Amino acid sequence: MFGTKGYANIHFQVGKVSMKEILKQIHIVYIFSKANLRVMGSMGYTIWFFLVGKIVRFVFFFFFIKSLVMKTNIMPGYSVNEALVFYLAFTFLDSIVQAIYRRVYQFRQMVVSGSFDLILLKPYNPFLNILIGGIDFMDLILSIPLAAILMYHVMQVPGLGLSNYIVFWLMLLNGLIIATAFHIFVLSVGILTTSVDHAIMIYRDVTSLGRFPLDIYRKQMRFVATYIIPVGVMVAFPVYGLLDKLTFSQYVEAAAISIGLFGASILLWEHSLRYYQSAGS
Amino acid sequence: MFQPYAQYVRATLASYFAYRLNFALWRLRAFIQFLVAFMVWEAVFRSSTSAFGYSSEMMLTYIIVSGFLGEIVLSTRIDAVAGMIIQGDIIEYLLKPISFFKVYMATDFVDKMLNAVGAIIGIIVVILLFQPVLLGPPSWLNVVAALIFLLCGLTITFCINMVVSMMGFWTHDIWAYRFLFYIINMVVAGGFFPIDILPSPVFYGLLFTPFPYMFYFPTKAFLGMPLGQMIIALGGAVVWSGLTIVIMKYVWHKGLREYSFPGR
Repeated sequence: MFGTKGYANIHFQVGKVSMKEILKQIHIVYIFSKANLRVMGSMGYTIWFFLVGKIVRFVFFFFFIKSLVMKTNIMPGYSVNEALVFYLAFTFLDSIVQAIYRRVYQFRQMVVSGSFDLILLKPYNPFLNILIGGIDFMDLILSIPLAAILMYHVMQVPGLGLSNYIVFWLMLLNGLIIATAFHIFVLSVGILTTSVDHAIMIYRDVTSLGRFPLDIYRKQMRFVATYIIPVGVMVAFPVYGLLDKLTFSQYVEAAAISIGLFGASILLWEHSLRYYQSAGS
Repeated sequence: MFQPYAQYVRATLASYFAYRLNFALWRLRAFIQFLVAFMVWEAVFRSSTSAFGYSSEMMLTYIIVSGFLGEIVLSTRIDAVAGMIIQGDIIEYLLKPISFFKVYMATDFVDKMLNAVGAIIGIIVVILLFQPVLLGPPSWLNVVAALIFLLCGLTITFCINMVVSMMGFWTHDIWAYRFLFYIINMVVAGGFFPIDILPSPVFYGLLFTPFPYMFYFPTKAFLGMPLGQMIIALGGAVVWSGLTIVIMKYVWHKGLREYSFPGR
Protein backbone atom coordinates (compact mmCIF):
# COMPACT_ATOMS: atom_id res chain seq x y z
CA MET A 1 0.00 0.00 0.00
CA PHE A 2 2.80 2.38 0.83
CA GLY A 3 5.37 0.34 -1.02
CA THR A 4 8.37 2.39 -1.96
CA LYS A 5 11.94 2.02 -2.91
CA GLY A 6 13.92 4.26 -0.72
CA TYR A 7 16.58 4.87 1.77
CA ALA A 8 14.38 3.95 4.73
CA ASN A 9 13.49 0.57 3.25
CA ILE A 10 9.96 0.86 4.50
CA HIS A 11 7.74 -1.63 2.79
CA PHE A 12 4.13 -1.86 3.87
CA GLN A 13 3.00 -3.98 0.98
CA VAL A 14 -0.16 -5.81 1.89
CA GLY A 15 0.23 -9.56 1.50
CA LYS A 16 4.04 -9.50 1.33
CA VAL A 17 4.91 -8.95 5.01
CA SER A 18 5.89 -12.37 6.25
CA MET A 19 5.29 -13.62 9.76
CA LYS A 20 9.01 -14.35 10.02
CA GLU A 21 9.81 -10.70 9.33
CA ILE A 22 7.27 -9.52 11.90
CA LEU A 23 8.65 -11.87 14.54
CA LYS A 24 12.17 -10.69 13.77
CA GLN A 25 11.16 -7.07 14.33
CA ILE A 26 9.35 -7.93 17.54
CA HIS A 27 12.48 -9.73 18.71
CA ILE A 28 14.59 -6.62 17.95
CA VAL A 29 12.22 -4.46 20.01
CA TYR A 30 12.42 -7.08 22.77
CA ILE A 31 16.23 -6.84 22.78
CA PHE A 32 16.09 -3.03 22.97
CA SER A 33 13.51 -3.26 25.74
CA LYS A 34 15.72 -5.59 27.79
CA ALA A 35 18.54 -3.06 27.45
CA ASN A 36 16.19 -0.29 28.60
CA LEU A 37 15.21 -2.37 31.60
CA ARG A 38 18.87 -2.74 32.57
CA VAL A 39 19.39 1.01 32.23
CA MET A 40 16.36 1.59 34.42
CA GLY A 41 17.73 -0.84 36.98
CA SER A 42 21.06 0.98 37.05
CA MET A 43 19.38 4.28 37.90
CA GLY A 44 19.01 3.24 41.52
CA TYR A 45 17.03 5.55 43.80
CA THR A 46 16.76 8.36 41.21
CA ILE A 47 14.04 6.40 39.44
CA TRP A 48 11.79 7.22 42.37
CA PHE A 49 12.16 10.93 41.61
CA PHE A 50 10.70 10.34 38.15
CA LEU A 51 7.89 8.18 39.49
CA VAL A 52 7.04 10.64 42.26
CA GLY A 53 7.13 13.54 39.80
CA LYS A 54 4.79 11.82 37.35
CA ILE A 55 2.41 10.77 40.12
CA VAL A 56 2.41 14.28 41.63
CA ARG A 57 1.64 15.79 38.21
CA PHE A 58 -1.19 13.33 37.59
CA VAL A 59 -2.76 13.80 41.03
CA PHE A 60 -2.46 17.59 40.79
CA PHE A 61 -4.27 17.84 37.46
CA PHE A 62 -6.84 15.22 38.55
CA PHE A 63 -7.93 17.27 41.55
CA PHE A 64 -7.51 20.58 39.74
CA ILE A 65 -9.85 19.52 36.92
CA LYS A 66 -12.29 17.95 39.38
CA SER A 67 -12.34 21.18 41.37
CA LEU A 68 -12.71 23.32 38.23
CA VAL A 69 -15.66 21.31 36.96
CA MET A 70 -17.38 21.16 40.37
CA LYS A 71 -16.98 24.86 41.19
CA THR A 72 -17.35 26.49 37.77
CA ASN A 73 -19.43 26.04 34.65
CA ILE A 74 -16.47 25.33 32.40
CA MET A 75 -17.98 22.13 30.97
CA PRO A 76 -21.73 22.50 30.63
CA GLY A 77 -23.38 19.28 29.57
CA TYR A 78 -20.72 17.06 31.15
CA SER A 79 -20.74 15.52 34.59
CA VAL A 80 -17.68 15.63 36.84
CA ASN A 81 -17.04 11.97 36.08
CA GLU A 82 -17.23 12.54 32.32
CA ALA A 83 -14.80 15.46 32.64
CA LEU A 84 -12.39 13.21 34.48
CA VAL A 85 -12.73 10.57 31.76
CA PHE A 86 -11.44 13.15 29.25
CA TYR A 87 -8.44 13.86 31.45
CA LEU A 88 -7.79 10.18 32.21
CA ALA A 89 -8.05 9.16 28.56
CA PHE A 90 -5.57 11.91 27.64
CA THR A 91 -3.17 10.87 30.41
CA PHE A 92 -3.42 7.16 29.56
CA LEU A 93 -2.80 7.72 25.85
CA ASP A 94 0.05 10.11 26.63
CA SER A 95 1.61 7.54 28.95
CA ILE A 96 1.37 4.75 26.35
CA VAL A 97 2.83 7.01 23.66
CA GLN A 98 5.76 7.96 25.88
CA ALA A 99 6.31 4.32 26.84
CA ILE A 100 6.59 3.33 23.18
CA TYR A 101 8.27 6.38 21.65
CA ARG A 102 10.65 7.56 24.40
CA ARG A 103 13.61 7.00 22.09
CA VAL A 104 12.63 9.99 19.94
CA TYR A 105 13.88 12.28 22.71
CA GLN A 106 17.40 10.94 22.12
CA PHE A 107 17.36 11.30 18.34
CA ARG A 108 19.06 14.69 18.19
CA GLN A 109 22.16 13.33 19.86
CA MET A 110 22.30 10.47 17.35
CA VAL A 111 22.18 12.91 14.45
CA VAL A 112 24.78 15.39 15.75
CA SER A 113 27.17 12.62 16.85
CA GLY A 114 26.86 10.67 13.59
CA SER A 115 25.71 7.46 15.27
CA PHE A 116 22.53 7.66 13.19
CA ASP A 117 24.63 6.46 10.22
CA LEU A 118 25.30 3.21 12.01
CA ILE A 119 21.58 2.72 12.59
CA LEU A 120 20.79 3.29 8.91
CA LEU A 121 23.35 0.64 8.00
CA LYS A 122 21.69 -2.03 10.12
CA PRO A 123 19.55 -4.68 8.39
CA TYR A 124 16.32 -3.63 10.05
CA ASN A 125 13.88 -0.77 9.82
CA PRO A 126 15.54 2.26 11.48
CA PHE A 127 12.22 3.16 13.13
CA LEU A 128 12.69 0.14 15.40
CA ASN A 129 15.64 1.97 16.93
CA ILE A 130 15.03 5.69 16.59
CA LEU A 131 11.25 5.70 16.99
CA ILE A 132 10.58 2.80 19.36
CA GLY A 133 14.04 1.80 20.62
CA GLY A 134 12.58 -0.44 23.30
CA ILE A 135 9.78 0.13 25.78
CA ASP A 136 10.11 2.71 28.55
CA PHE A 137 9.11 0.54 31.49
CA MET A 138 8.57 3.44 33.84
CA ASP A 139 5.75 4.82 31.72
CA LEU A 140 4.49 1.33 31.01
CA ILE A 141 4.28 0.54 34.72
CA LEU A 142 2.40 3.78 35.35
CA SER A 143 0.02 3.00 32.46
CA ILE A 144 -1.37 0.00 34.33
CA PRO A 145 -2.91 1.85 37.30
CA LEU A 146 -3.88 4.65 34.88
CA ALA A 147 -5.82 2.14 32.78
CA ALA A 148 -7.52 0.82 35.91
CA ILE A 149 -8.50 4.33 37.09
CA LEU A 150 -9.67 5.20 33.58
CA MET A 151 -11.87 2.09 33.30
CA TYR A 152 -13.26 2.67 36.79
CA HIS A 153 -14.43 6.15 35.79
CA VAL A 154 -15.62 4.97 32.37
CA MET A 155 -17.80 2.35 34.04
CA GLN A 156 -19.36 5.09 36.22
CA VAL A 157 -20.76 6.72 33.07
CA PRO A 158 -24.38 5.58 32.81
CA GLY A 159 -25.94 4.04 29.73
CA LEU A 160 -22.84 2.62 28.07
CA GLY A 161 -22.96 -0.64 26.13
CA LEU A 162 -20.34 -2.93 24.63
CA SER A 163 -20.34 -0.93 21.40
CA ASN A 164 -19.37 2.23 23.33
CA TYR A 165 -16.38 0.48 24.85
CA ILE A 166 -15.30 -0.94 21.45
CA VAL A 167 -15.57 2.47 19.83
CA PHE A 168 -13.60 4.02 22.70
CA TRP A 169 -10.67 1.64 22.36
CA LEU A 170 -10.70 1.81 18.55
CA MET A 171 -10.56 5.60 18.70
CA LEU A 172 -7.71 5.40 21.21
CA LEU A 173 -5.91 3.21 18.69
CA ASN A 174 -6.67 5.85 16.06
CA GLY A 175 -5.15 8.41 18.41
CA LEU A 176 -2.07 6.25 18.75
CA ILE A 177 -1.65 6.30 14.95
CA ILE A 178 -1.83 10.12 14.99
CA ALA A 179 0.72 10.23 17.79
CA THR A 180 2.99 7.93 15.77
CA ALA A 181 2.70 10.27 12.82
CA PHE A 182 3.60 13.27 15.01
CA HIS A 183 6.67 11.50 16.30
CA ILE A 184 7.80 10.60 12.77
CA PHE A 185 7.32 14.26 11.84
CA VAL A 186 9.57 15.20 14.75
CA LEU A 187 12.22 12.72 13.58
CA SER A 188 12.05 14.20 10.08
CA VAL A 189 12.43 17.72 11.48
CA GLY A 190 15.34 16.41 13.52
CA ILE A 191 17.16 15.27 10.38
CA LEU A 192 16.51 18.51 8.49
CA THR A 193 17.24 20.89 11.37
CA THR A 194 18.50 18.89 14.45
CA SER A 195 15.75 20.68 16.42
CA VAL A 196 14.16 17.66 18.08
CA ASP A 197 13.89 18.74 21.69
CA HIS A 198 11.72 21.80 21.15
CA ALA A 199 9.66 20.07 18.43
CA ILE A 200 8.75 17.13 20.63
CA MET A 201 7.94 19.39 23.57
CA ILE A 202 5.72 21.55 21.34
CA TYR A 203 3.85 18.34 20.48
CA ARG A 204 3.50 17.58 24.22
CA ASP A 205 2.28 21.10 25.01
CA VAL A 206 -0.23 21.15 22.15
CA THR A 207 -1.65 17.74 23.07
CA SER A 208 -2.19 19.04 26.62
CA LEU A 209 -5.20 20.86 25.13
CA GLY A 210 -6.79 17.41 25.26
CA ARG A 211 -6.98 17.46 29.06
CA PHE A 212 -10.35 19.11 28.50
CA PRO A 213 -13.01 18.41 25.87
CA LEU A 214 -12.70 20.62 22.80
CA ASP A 215 -16.09 22.19 23.57
CA ILE A 216 -14.57 24.51 26.16
CA TYR A 217 -12.32 26.22 23.65
CA ARG A 218 -13.34 28.87 21.17
CA LYS A 219 -14.61 27.81 17.75
CA GLN A 220 -11.38 28.79 16.00
CA MET A 221 -9.25 26.77 18.41
CA ARG A 222 -11.62 23.79 18.07
CA PHE A 223 -11.11 23.93 14.30
CA VAL A 224 -7.32 24.13 14.66
CA ALA A 225 -7.27 21.30 17.19
CA THR A 226 -9.41 19.07 14.96
CA TYR A 227 -8.27 19.71 11.41
CA ILE A 228 -4.94 21.58 11.48
CA ILE A 229 -3.10 19.97 14.41
CA PRO A 230 -5.54 17.11 15.12
CA VAL A 231 -4.79 16.66 18.80
CA GLY A 232 -8.53 16.83 19.40
CA VAL A 233 -9.04 13.80 17.17
CA MET A 234 -6.22 12.10 19.00
CA VAL A 235 -7.27 12.59 22.63
CA ALA A 236 -10.84 13.93 22.75
CA PHE A 237 -12.55 11.93 20.00
CA PRO A 238 -12.18 8.60 21.88
CA VAL A 239 -14.25 9.99 24.74
CA TYR A 240 -16.71 11.65 22.38
CA GLY A 241 -17.13 8.24 20.77
CA LEU A 242 -17.60 6.62 24.18
CA LEU A 243 -20.35 9.13 24.99
CA ASP A 244 -22.05 8.71 21.58
CA LYS A 245 -21.32 12.32 20.64
CA LEU A 246 -19.79 11.61 17.24
CA THR A 247 -21.59 11.26 13.92
CA PHE A 248 -20.68 8.66 11.32
CA SER A 249 -18.99 11.30 9.16
CA GLN A 250 -16.82 12.31 12.12
CA TYR A 251 -15.65 8.72 12.53
CA VAL A 252 -14.75 8.67 8.84
CA GLU A 253 -12.96 12.03 9.20
CA ALA A 254 -11.01 10.74 12.20
CA ALA A 255 -9.85 7.67 10.29
CA ALA A 256 -8.99 9.74 7.22
CA ILE A 257 -7.02 12.22 9.33
CA SER A 258 -4.99 9.52 11.05
CA ILE A 259 -4.25 7.60 7.83
CA GLY A 260 -3.50 10.79 5.92
CA LEU A 261 -1.25 12.15 8.65
CA PHE A 262 0.61 8.87 8.94
CA GLY A 263 1.13 8.71 5.19
CA ALA A 264 2.33 12.31 5.11
CA SER A 265 4.78 11.64 7.94
CA ILE A 266 6.28 8.69 6.05
CA LEU A 267 6.65 10.82 2.91
CA LEU A 268 8.33 13.61 4.89
CA TRP A 269 10.62 11.06 6.51
CA GLU A 270 11.74 9.69 3.14
CA HIS A 271 12.19 13.23 1.85
CA SER A 272 14.27 14.21 4.87
CA LEU A 273 16.55 11.19 4.48
CA ARG A 274 17.50 12.43 1.02
CA TYR A 275 18.84 15.59 2.67
CA TYR A 276 20.59 13.84 5.53
CA GLN A 277 24.22 14.83 5.85
CA SER A 278 26.11 12.71 8.24
CA ALA A 279 28.18 14.38 10.93
CA GLY A 280 30.70 11.61 10.47
CA SER A 281 30.97 8.48 12.55
CA MET B 1 35.60 44.67 36.86
CA PHE B 2 32.55 43.73 34.83
CA GLN B 3 34.36 43.54 31.48
CA PRO B 4 34.91 39.75 31.58
CA TYR B 5 31.25 39.16 32.43
CA ALA B 6 30.14 41.52 29.66
CA GLN B 7 32.00 39.21 27.25
CA TYR B 8 29.93 36.30 28.52
CA VAL B 9 26.78 38.34 27.98
CA ARG B 10 27.79 39.04 24.38
CA ALA B 11 28.77 35.42 23.72
CA THR B 12 25.53 34.07 25.22
CA LEU B 13 23.47 36.47 23.14
CA ALA B 14 25.32 35.42 19.98
CA SER B 15 24.82 31.72 20.78
CA TYR B 16 21.05 32.14 20.87
CA PHE B 17 20.97 33.51 17.34
CA ALA B 18 23.42 30.97 15.94
CA TYR B 19 20.58 28.45 15.56
CA ARG B 20 17.65 30.59 14.57
CA LEU B 21 15.13 27.78 14.06
CA ASN B 22 15.97 26.44 17.50
CA PHE B 23 15.41 29.91 18.90
CA ALA B 24 12.06 30.25 17.10
CA LEU B 25 10.84 26.83 18.26
CA TRP B 26 11.88 27.64 21.82
CA ARG B 27 9.85 30.85 21.78
CA LEU B 28 6.91 29.08 20.10
CA ARG B 29 6.93 26.47 22.82
CA ALA B 30 6.91 29.10 25.59
CA PHE B 31 4.01 30.86 23.84
CA ILE B 32 1.99 27.64 23.50
CA GLN B 33 2.42 26.83 27.20
CA PHE B 34 1.20 30.28 28.15
CA LEU B 35 -1.65 30.16 25.62
CA VAL B 36 -2.95 26.80 26.92
CA ALA B 37 -3.11 28.06 30.52
CA PHE B 38 -4.79 31.31 29.40
CA MET B 39 -7.36 29.50 27.23
CA VAL B 40 -8.43 27.24 30.10
CA TRP B 41 -9.14 30.19 32.40
CA GLU B 42 -10.70 32.20 29.59
CA ALA B 43 -13.05 29.26 29.06
CA VAL B 44 -13.90 29.21 32.78
CA PHE B 45 -14.90 32.87 32.75
CA ARG B 46 -16.85 32.69 29.52
CA SER B 47 -19.52 30.88 31.52
CA SER B 48 -18.91 32.25 35.03
CA THR B 49 -18.41 35.77 36.39
CA SER B 50 -16.26 34.56 39.27
CA ALA B 51 -14.42 31.45 40.34
CA PHE B 52 -12.45 30.61 43.48
CA GLY B 53 -12.95 34.14 44.75
CA TYR B 54 -11.44 35.72 41.64
CA SER B 55 -13.25 37.78 39.04
CA SER B 56 -12.53 37.30 35.36
CA GLU B 57 -10.38 40.45 35.24
CA MET B 58 -8.41 39.46 38.33
CA MET B 59 -7.73 35.87 37.19
CA LEU B 60 -6.82 36.68 33.60
CA THR B 61 -4.57 39.50 34.76
CA TYR B 62 -2.99 37.09 37.23
CA ILE B 63 -2.36 34.49 34.49
CA ILE B 64 -0.79 37.11 32.22
CA VAL B 65 1.40 38.74 34.89
CA SER B 66 2.46 35.41 36.42
CA GLY B 67 3.16 34.09 32.92
CA PHE B 68 5.43 37.06 32.28
CA LEU B 69 7.17 36.91 35.66
CA GLY B 70 7.42 33.13 35.50
CA GLU B 71 9.25 33.38 32.15
CA ILE B 72 11.78 35.70 33.77
CA VAL B 73 12.20 33.85 37.05
CA LEU B 74 12.21 30.24 35.86
CA SER B 75 14.30 30.61 32.71
CA THR B 76 17.89 29.65 33.29
CA ARG B 77 21.09 28.40 31.70
CA ILE B 78 22.20 26.79 34.94
CA ASP B 79 21.00 23.33 33.86
CA ALA B 80 24.19 23.15 31.76
CA VAL B 81 26.30 23.33 34.95
CA ALA B 82 25.57 19.71 35.82
CA GLY B 83 26.99 18.50 32.51
CA MET B 84 30.04 20.71 32.97
CA ILE B 85 30.69 19.21 36.39
CA ILE B 86 30.26 15.64 35.18
CA GLN B 87 32.51 16.09 32.15
CA GLY B 88 35.11 18.17 33.99
CA ASP B 89 34.62 21.33 31.91
CA ILE B 90 34.00 23.31 35.08
CA ILE B 91 37.74 23.27 35.77
CA GLU B 92 38.13 25.94 33.09
CA TYR B 93 36.04 28.32 35.19
CA LEU B 94 37.70 27.36 38.45
CA LEU B 95 41.17 28.13 37.06
CA LYS B 96 40.19 31.54 35.70
CA PRO B 97 40.30 34.67 37.92
CA ILE B 98 36.55 35.17 37.62
CA SER B 99 33.60 34.23 39.78
CA PHE B 100 31.77 31.15 38.53
CA PHE B 101 28.51 32.39 39.98
CA LYS B 102 28.86 35.82 38.37
CA VAL B 103 29.46 34.15 35.00
CA TYR B 104 26.17 32.34 35.33
CA MET B 105 24.42 35.43 36.59
CA ALA B 106 25.58 37.12 33.39
CA THR B 107 24.43 34.31 31.12
CA ASP B 108 21.14 34.00 33.01
CA PHE B 109 20.65 37.75 32.59
CA VAL B 110 20.69 37.31 28.80
CA ASP B 111 18.39 34.30 28.97
CA LYS B 112 15.91 36.14 31.16
CA MET B 113 15.93 39.26 28.98
CA LEU B 114 15.23 37.21 25.87
CA ASN B 115 12.46 35.38 27.69
CA ALA B 116 11.01 38.68 28.88
CA VAL B 117 10.93 40.09 25.34
CA GLY B 118 9.40 36.85 24.03
CA ALA B 119 6.83 36.84 26.82
CA ILE B 120 5.81 40.42 26.07
CA ILE B 121 5.29 39.55 22.41
CA GLY B 122 3.25 36.50 23.41
CA ILE B 123 1.13 38.55 25.80
CA ILE B 124 0.46 41.16 23.11
CA VAL B 125 -0.68 38.39 20.73
CA VAL B 126 -2.99 36.91 23.38
CA ILE B 127 -4.45 40.33 24.23
CA LEU B 128 -5.09 41.02 20.54
CA LEU B 129 -6.70 37.59 20.05
CA PHE B 130 -8.84 37.41 23.16
CA GLN B 131 -9.19 41.12 24.13
CA PRO B 132 -9.52 40.37 27.83
CA VAL B 133 -10.36 43.06 30.37
CA LEU B 134 -7.29 43.43 32.56
CA LEU B 135 -6.45 45.21 35.79
CA GLY B 136 -3.49 47.41 36.55
CA PRO B 137 -1.60 47.80 39.83
CA PRO B 138 -3.53 49.87 42.40
CA SER B 139 -0.54 52.16 42.99
CA TRP B 140 3.15 52.61 42.22
CA LEU B 141 3.94 51.13 45.65
CA ASN B 142 2.62 47.80 44.36
CA VAL B 143 5.03 47.98 41.44
CA VAL B 144 7.94 48.67 43.81
CA ALA B 145 6.87 45.82 46.07
CA ALA B 146 6.57 43.50 43.08
CA LEU B 147 10.10 44.41 41.99
CA ILE B 148 11.47 43.65 45.45
CA PHE B 149 9.62 40.32 45.50
CA LEU B 150 10.91 39.65 41.99
CA LEU B 151 14.49 40.23 43.10
CA CYS B 152 14.00 37.73 45.93
CA GLY B 153 12.36 35.28 43.53
CA LEU B 154 15.27 35.56 41.12
CA THR B 155 17.72 34.93 43.95
CA ILE B 156 15.78 31.90 45.20
CA THR B 157 15.47 30.26 41.79
CA PHE B 158 19.11 30.98 40.92
CA CYS B 159 20.29 29.31 44.10
CA ILE B 160 17.93 26.33 43.88
CA ASN B 161 18.84 25.75 40.22
CA MET B 162 22.51 25.88 41.17
CA VAL B 163 22.01 23.38 44.00
CA VAL B 164 20.14 21.00 41.69
CA SER B 165 22.91 21.24 39.09
CA MET B 166 25.57 20.78 41.76
CA MET B 167 24.18 17.31 42.40
CA GLY B 168 26.50 16.57 39.49
CA PHE B 169 29.32 16.46 42.04
CA TRP B 170 27.83 13.25 43.38
CA THR B 171 25.65 11.67 40.68
CA HIS B 172 25.24 11.54 36.90
CA ASP B 173 21.45 11.28 37.11
CA ILE B 174 20.74 15.00 37.32
CA TRP B 175 17.66 14.94 35.16
CA ALA B 176 15.72 13.11 37.90
CA TYR B 177 16.25 16.02 40.35
CA ARG B 178 15.56 18.61 37.68
CA PHE B 179 12.39 16.84 36.56
CA LEU B 180 11.06 16.74 40.12
CA PHE B 181 11.92 20.42 40.61
CA TYR B 182 10.13 21.26 37.36
CA ILE B 183 7.02 19.33 38.40
CA ILE B 184 6.92 20.93 41.86
CA ASN B 185 7.28 24.36 40.26
CA MET B 186 4.44 23.62 37.86
CA VAL B 187 2.17 22.55 40.71
CA VAL B 188 2.88 24.94 43.58
CA ALA B 189 4.72 27.99 42.25
CA GLY B 190 1.51 29.61 41.03
CA GLY B 191 1.95 29.49 37.26
CA PHE B 192 -1.20 27.62 36.29
CA PHE B 193 -3.37 29.17 39.01
CA PRO B 194 -2.96 31.43 42.05
CA ILE B 195 -2.09 29.13 44.91
CA ASP B 196 -4.45 30.89 47.33
CA ILE B 197 -7.32 28.96 45.66
CA LEU B 198 -5.93 25.82 47.28
CA PRO B 199 -7.43 24.69 50.61
CA SER B 200 -6.16 26.91 53.44
CA PRO B 201 -3.99 24.26 55.18
CA VAL B 202 -2.25 23.51 51.88
CA PHE B 203 -1.79 27.20 51.06
CA TYR B 204 -0.38 28.10 54.48
CA GLY B 205 1.83 25.01 54.41
CA LEU B 206 3.27 26.13 51.07
CA LEU B 207 4.25 29.47 52.59
CA PHE B 208 6.94 27.58 54.51
CA THR B 209 8.49 26.50 51.19
CA PRO B 210 10.41 28.74 48.78
CA PHE B 211 8.09 28.12 45.81
CA PRO B 212 5.40 30.78 46.41
CA TYR B 213 8.11 33.44 46.60
CA MET B 214 9.35 32.73 43.07
CA PHE B 215 6.61 34.49 41.11
CA TYR B 216 3.30 34.01 42.97
CA PHE B 217 4.02 36.76 45.51
CA PRO B 218 5.56 39.12 42.95
CA THR B 219 2.34 38.76 40.94
CA LYS B 220 0.08 39.22 43.94
CA ALA B 221 2.07 42.25 45.08
CA PHE B 222 1.66 43.77 41.62
CA LEU B 223 -2.09 43.14 41.60
CA GLY B 224 -2.58 44.35 45.16
CA MET B 225 -2.20 42.76 48.60
CA PRO B 226 -3.10 43.99 52.08
CA LEU B 227 -0.06 45.76 53.56
CA GLY B 228 0.20 43.42 56.55
CA GLN B 229 0.23 40.31 54.34
CA MET B 230 2.75 41.94 52.04
CA ILE B 231 5.17 42.67 54.87
CA ILE B 232 4.92 39.11 56.21
CA ALA B 233 5.38 37.66 52.72
CA LEU B 234 8.33 39.96 52.12
CA GLY B 235 9.89 38.69 55.31
CA GLY B 236 9.45 35.13 54.06
CA ALA B 237 10.97 36.03 50.69
CA VAL B 238 14.03 37.63 52.32
CA VAL B 239 14.50 34.68 54.68
CA TRP B 240 14.32 32.17 51.82
CA SER B 241 16.67 34.28 49.70
CA GLY B 242 19.25 34.23 52.47
CA LEU B 243 18.71 30.58 53.24
CA THR B 244 19.08 29.46 49.63
CA ILE B 245 22.27 31.51 49.25
CA VAL B 246 23.74 29.82 52.34
CA ILE B 247 22.71 26.37 51.13
CA MET B 248 24.11 27.03 47.65
CA LYS B 249 27.48 28.12 49.04
CA TYR B 250 27.60 25.15 51.41
CA VAL B 251 26.84 22.64 48.64
CA TRP B 252 29.36 24.35 46.34
CA HIS B 253 32.21 24.14 48.84
CA LYS B 254 31.33 20.59 49.86
CA GLY B 255 31.14 19.55 46.22
CA LEU B 256 34.49 21.11 45.33
CA ARG B 257 36.18 19.34 48.26
CA GLU B 258 34.89 15.97 47.09
CA TYR B 259 35.15 16.63 43.35
CA SER B 260 37.15 14.47 41.00
CA PHE B 261 36.83 13.78 37.29
CA PRO B 262 38.72 11.99 34.50
CA GLY B 263 41.80 13.91 33.40
CA ARG B 264 41.67 16.47 30.60
